[in-house]
Amino acid sequence: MYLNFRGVIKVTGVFYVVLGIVMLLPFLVGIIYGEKESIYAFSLVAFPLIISGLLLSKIKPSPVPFKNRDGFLIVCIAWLSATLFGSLPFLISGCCDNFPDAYLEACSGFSTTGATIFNDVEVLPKAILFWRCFTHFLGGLGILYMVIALLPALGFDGQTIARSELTGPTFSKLVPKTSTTSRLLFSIYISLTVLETILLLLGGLSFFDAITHAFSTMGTGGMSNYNDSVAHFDSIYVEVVITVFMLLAGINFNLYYIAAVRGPKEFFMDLELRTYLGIIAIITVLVSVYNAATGMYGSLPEAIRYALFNIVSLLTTTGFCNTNYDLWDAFPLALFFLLYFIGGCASSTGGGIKVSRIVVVAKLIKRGVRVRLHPNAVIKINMNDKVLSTDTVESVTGFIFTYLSLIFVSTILIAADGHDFTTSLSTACASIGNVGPGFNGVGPAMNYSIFSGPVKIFLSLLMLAGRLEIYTFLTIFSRRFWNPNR
Amino acid sequence: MKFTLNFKYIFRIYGYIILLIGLAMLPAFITSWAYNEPDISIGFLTSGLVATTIGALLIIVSQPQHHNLKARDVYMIVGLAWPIMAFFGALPYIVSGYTESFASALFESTAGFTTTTATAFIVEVTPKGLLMWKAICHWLGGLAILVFLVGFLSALGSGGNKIFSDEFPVLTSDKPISKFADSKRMFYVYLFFTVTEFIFLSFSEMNLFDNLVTTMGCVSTSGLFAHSSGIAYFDSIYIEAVIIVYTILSAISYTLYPMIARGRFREVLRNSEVKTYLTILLVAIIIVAFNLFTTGTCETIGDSLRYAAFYSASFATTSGYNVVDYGSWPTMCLVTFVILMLIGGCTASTSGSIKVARIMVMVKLMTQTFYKRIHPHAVMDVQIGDTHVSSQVVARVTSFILSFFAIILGSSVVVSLQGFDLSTNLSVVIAMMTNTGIYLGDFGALGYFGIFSDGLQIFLAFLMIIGRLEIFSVLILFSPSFWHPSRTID
Repeated sequence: MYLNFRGVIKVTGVFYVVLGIVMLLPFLVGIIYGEKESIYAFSLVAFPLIISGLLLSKIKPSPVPFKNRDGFLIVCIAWLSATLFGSLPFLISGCCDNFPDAYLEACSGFSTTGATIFNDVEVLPKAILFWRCFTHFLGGLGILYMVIALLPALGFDGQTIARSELTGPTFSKLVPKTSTTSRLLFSIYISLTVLETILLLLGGLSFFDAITHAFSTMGTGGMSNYNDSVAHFDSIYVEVVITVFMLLAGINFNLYYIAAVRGPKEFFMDLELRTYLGIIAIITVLVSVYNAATGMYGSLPEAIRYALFNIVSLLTTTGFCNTNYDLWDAFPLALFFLLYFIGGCASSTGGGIKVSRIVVVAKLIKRGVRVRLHPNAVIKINMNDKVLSTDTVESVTGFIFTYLSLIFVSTILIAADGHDFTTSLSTACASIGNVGPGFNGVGPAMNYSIFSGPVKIFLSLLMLAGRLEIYTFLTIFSRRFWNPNR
Repeated sequence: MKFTLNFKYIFRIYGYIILLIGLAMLPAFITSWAYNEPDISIGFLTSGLVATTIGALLIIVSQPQHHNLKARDVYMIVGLAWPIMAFFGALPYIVSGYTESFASALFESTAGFTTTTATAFIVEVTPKGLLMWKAICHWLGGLAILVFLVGFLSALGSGGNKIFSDEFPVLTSDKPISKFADSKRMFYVYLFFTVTEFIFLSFSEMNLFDNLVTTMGCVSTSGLFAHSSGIAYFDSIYIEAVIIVYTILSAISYTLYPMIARGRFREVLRNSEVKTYLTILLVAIIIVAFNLFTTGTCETIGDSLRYAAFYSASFATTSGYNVVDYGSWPTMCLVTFVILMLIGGCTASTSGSIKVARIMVMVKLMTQTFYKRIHPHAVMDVQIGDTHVSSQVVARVTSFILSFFAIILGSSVVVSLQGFDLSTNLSVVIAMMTNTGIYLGDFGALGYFGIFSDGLQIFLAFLMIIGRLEIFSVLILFSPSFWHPSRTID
């Protein structure tokens, strides 16, 4: 059997159970705040999910181990199910009156994009607000994370699945075993979320606001309970806390393990990390100085406040904003646009192309110059003192070309919906990069309600494709995948 | 190994170039004299004499002892040829007193030689002599590309072949060029196109001046017009058709034409790059026409097809001809145009940009990476048509495309200093890099760049050269390892 259907179904069953259980949390929130529609909405989805999941998981699996194909299939089924079931509460509670709206909100949530179709989020029930940010938290590290831990107990190996969902290229094995990795990364993730919640509480936020924004930060999603995002709090302390945690969420989580085990020196020696921090520093300096010099802000510290937050937000693809920067001059906005093509670090919750791939691109360009000068030279690309194979390098360039091509195609389709060039282009970049806000029609003060139904569905799928690093998602659409001979 | 450059040979070549430019000013001088533009005439006379003298001096003084050229020599020649041409070509604009800004003169001249439509001046009021000079620069620029990038290969001997042959994935029925005779043939083809188009256009309502200017701008895929309203000035389907045909002919590999002359039709028809190119163009025309019609921008299907065809061809050949102000056109068309610009024409033609063959390699690479995800251990190689593309060429193509986009993004930040919005900045930079010349934005359809500061005009001129010379020929001159004696590769 070329596809382990029984195994796939069993894992899907387990996943549904976990998904249903997880949806009981917003259900509880609904009960706490006494919101009848929310209670109906979540219970009507959660309980059937749990029941059907239990039934599916009873299937007897075949003894064949999982292959890559099975991993892809599971990941796709999981994400499509989660987003579909996750969109139902929006519809049942009446917050959304059509499916494309609900689906985009759910996809934006799980893919940690952070785009919203709501013109006014502040009138939404608390349970719905909670669910939006909670999907960020779940989608951040990978919704299958919850399942991977349970799989060995069921006799499955979680590695194949983990590999399919992992974001970013892995150029070297930083930690020994995948099972160790999963549990470790998960605990780092949870700890940071808890820490941020506490710090936000100390900043004067309500518990509800604190925990939802912590979810949103760590998943690098960017959905907020307020229409003006983090600008609502108008607090430098809150902005600093969120900036720090966005930054932490955008770092390769494996590096935290390394810092703990091998000390901080190796942590700071990582080329990707240094590039990441360097980009933030340089762009912040350029934007702040420009804004202060041109009088957009009265003083340099003030300019830095509004620059740093948004730069970290865009680079990590979170999408929070502390001001409507679309009103700024062209120069800082042009710099912001660059960030859409970089993204967070590999193996972080950030999206986009990933800093490590950009580093490879830079090295390739540099090599391009050298090779033309010495046509017979053989120059290797290395990363952190490890040589990258031709295959690895080619997969990086292949990915980037695919990413750019998708942006072009998406821009045309969005433009066909009747939007101007800047809006179309920035929406495409913001969706596939899981950032959220763009410019003009989808700027920080705007939302995604401007798109037609079909385009909303397209954007939702685009967000998923970006989150799953394109291939995992597109693979199931290819004939070769289903052909048993190949 | 000591760092050596065959300076005498290099300077001799520069001498020939400068001399040629000086001599080429003669027709422009005659034009400005005929149209009674005394200042301009004197400008040409003076500049022409200066260039001719300097050129002749260089030729006489540089007696090369040997004709061995290394990689460094070639890059030195190619990399500096265009800036030199641009410098001397800028003289008429300044010396005649038409502009006081050397930056604008340089911009204009660079646009000329890089076959870019852009202008720093208002076409409608520009003196006829200067317009003729611009057209001559375009024509020479197109010729230079054909002769330099393609013809120079053969003059270098087998070692030199590798330098440029790796740049282009496919050349003529997938076989590389190796004879100097072929580059002479391409010159004849270029001449043939020029003459025949001139004849065809003489049947239209164009006067002699417009005919010459349009013809020279057309075969070099530059897109020059003597009227600000573009071709709407004539409103003639015949003229539009002639232009479409000749720009496409010039955007197809010139290496194919000698083969047609020899009767080897079948090989030409099998050329996958040309087939892909024409398919892309056709698809674009259909999309644009459809979009124009359904959004009501054009009232009839006939009109939609007419404008769709002209504009798509204009962008796909990187000419940059303008018909009407497309600023109010639906965005979908504009995005299609931008993509056409980025794809460009075929290799070994006068059009610019990334070029179809490289795009084909890129697409193959994409599908392969896709496939490898399912079968990580598959061994595949890239094929275009019947040829296998070696991994070295693939690497070159990859680094080229990545650099191209990196430069576009980086440059858009520099251009943003002028204060225009994102779509303007991006399309300006793309227009420069692809040597098209028209962009999105208020003055975009006119290709008018006077709205940019002097400093930015110089920067944009630099971009035009980088795009024309396919990036690396210029970047290399900035690399420290170019100037250091080559011992090790670090």
